[in-house]
Formats: sequence, structure tokens, C-alpha cells
Amino acid sequence: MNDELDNLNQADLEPEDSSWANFLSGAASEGQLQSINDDEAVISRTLEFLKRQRDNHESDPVWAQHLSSAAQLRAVDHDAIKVVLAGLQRERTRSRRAHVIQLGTRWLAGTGLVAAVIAGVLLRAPTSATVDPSEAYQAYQEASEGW
Amino acid sequence: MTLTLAHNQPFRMGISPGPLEQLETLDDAALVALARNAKATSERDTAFDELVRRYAPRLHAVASRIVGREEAFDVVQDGFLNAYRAIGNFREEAQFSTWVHRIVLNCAYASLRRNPNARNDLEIPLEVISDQVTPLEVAENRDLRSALERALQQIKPEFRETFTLVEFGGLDYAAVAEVLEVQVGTIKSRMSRAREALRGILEAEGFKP
Repeated sequence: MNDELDNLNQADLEPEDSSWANFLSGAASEGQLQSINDDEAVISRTLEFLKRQRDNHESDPVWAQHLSSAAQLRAVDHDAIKVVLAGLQRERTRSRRAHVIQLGTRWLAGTGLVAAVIAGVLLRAPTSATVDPSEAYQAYQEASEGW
Repeated sequence: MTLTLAHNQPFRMGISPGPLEQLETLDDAALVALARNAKATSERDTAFDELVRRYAPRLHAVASRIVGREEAFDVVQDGFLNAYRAIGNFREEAQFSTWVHRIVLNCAYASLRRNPNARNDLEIPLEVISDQVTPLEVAENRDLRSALERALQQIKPEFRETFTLVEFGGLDYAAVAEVLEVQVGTIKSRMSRAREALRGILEAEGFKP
């Protein structure tokens, strides 16, 4: 559409023929009786449609809540949506960091535990070769017989 | 909270609307307030349904000029469903008529984008005029309303949209300006251009005031 035409001052346009203006208005309103069926039809069909939608929402509260939330989101300003999304992103980032820290902590803890077990085993192990318990008992018997 | 009836009588909210006749006496602002704030869901729905009765016919008339008569039924349904869901966010200082017109127009154009071929359904084949029939006889025999419908499809979309909202939607220039989000002067200009274009088409077909 030519914006210049839109912005023309009313006075710049040719004086409108009021007879034609009235003629066109009359033509637009003419035949209103013929559209009574359409009027009644659009009212009844729209009311029935709305009733079905409301009934569907009542029978499925989960879906109703989803639609309600979606409708509320559509009604919210775009700026508000951006704020919400930015907040979600920050939360995801914070959660991701916390998760990494948690994993690292567990790894360190696990590693430390393993290291402690290994150290304990090494410390408890005898410096000499493994002694056969039966030989040790025999040595004890021989030693005790001398008493 | 006290609402105002169309006859300036007070109507106390929280009380069941009662018979349908009572709702018919409420102005749009009172009905919207009920639809938003009534305690019982049934009260809210009943108030909104009254708004449907009040505006569905004219909205169908407007939408018909964009997407055709049959598709206009679906457009009006979708429009009112959107309005029902968004009624909680309706700004009370706004006019419900312009708000719902805006919603239905958006639905109509969305429908047209989904189905561009719907525009073809609006074309009404012109009758063949015999050279032996005088223009006066044509004017007497032809359906003026049908001729106007055909002529509307031949003018620019913005002129057709404006003329439709004024003549078929029953909105004043200020309301149409609000619906279309333009200046009132723009609406006046478009109406003048629309009438000029329609006059040219109808005069060529033998019509005159």
C-alpha cells in the first residue's frame, strides 16, 4: 500500500459524494434479512465449539493446565519471555557447574579411598617373605618344648 | 464491586446473573468484568457466551470478506477461543469490540496464509450482460448486494478491509483505527478511496443511487 496515499490530508481528497456514501452503506446493510440464518448459525456453532473446548479441559486437567500455561505464555510480553529464558539458561549453567563439581568431588573421593586402601594394604604387608602359618606353629611348638 | 447496566442500573457482582435477559442488559465492560472475575466458572462462561452472541454475527460478516463464508465460521470460533483464553489479560481500559475484532482479523489472515487458495472462493463470476439490455434494466434486475460483494473483491485489500470493518463490522472510524493500528486520518482516507473505487465499479455495471 502506498503510504503517501494513506497520509493524504482529508481536505486534499475530492469532496466525497454523500449520495454514493449512503448508497454503498445501504447496499452493505441490504440483505441483512438474508443473513439471519448465518447469524444464528455462527452463534450456535461458536457456542457449541466453546462448550466442547471447556468440557475437554475439564476432563483432562493435565492438558488443560498445559493449554492454560501456553495461553498465558502467548499473552506475555516478548520481553518477559526473554527474561524467563535467560533465567532458565543461568539455572542450567549453574546446575551444569554444580554437576561437574559433584562428579569431580566423587572422583577425588573415590580416588582417595582407593589410595587409602592401597596404602593400608602396603603398610600391613610383612617385609619378609610370606611365612607359612603351619611352619610358624611348628617353630612355636619346638620352642615351647624347651620350656 | 458494582457494575453498570446498559440502563445505568447497578448490578452487583458475585450474584448469579440469573435469567439470560439480565445479561442482555449489561454493557460490554460489565460482561467482560464478569467473564474475568466472577467466582463461579459457570458465571464467567455465561457472561462470555453473551459476548459471543453479541459479536459473532458481525465478526462472521467481516471474516467472510477475507476467507469466504464457510471458512469464516472456523475463523470466528478460533477467534473467540483465543479471546476466551486471553480474557484474563484483557486491559479494562480497552474496548472489547476492537479487541475481539483484532483477534478475529488475525485469525482470518492466519487462515489465509495457511490456505491462500481460499481467496478464489470469494470470486463470484460476473453475469454476462447482453448488449440489448439497457443499464437501467440491469440496475433493476441485478442484486445490488451481490454486485457490491463482487466489487469489494476487486479493490485493494486495505480499502476492502477498512470498508468491511466500517460497513459490515459496524465500527466507527476511531475503533477501526485502533483495530488496524493506524491513524484515524488513514481510515478516513481509505474509506474515501474505497467508496471511490466501488463507485467506479458499480457505475460501470449500471448502478447508481
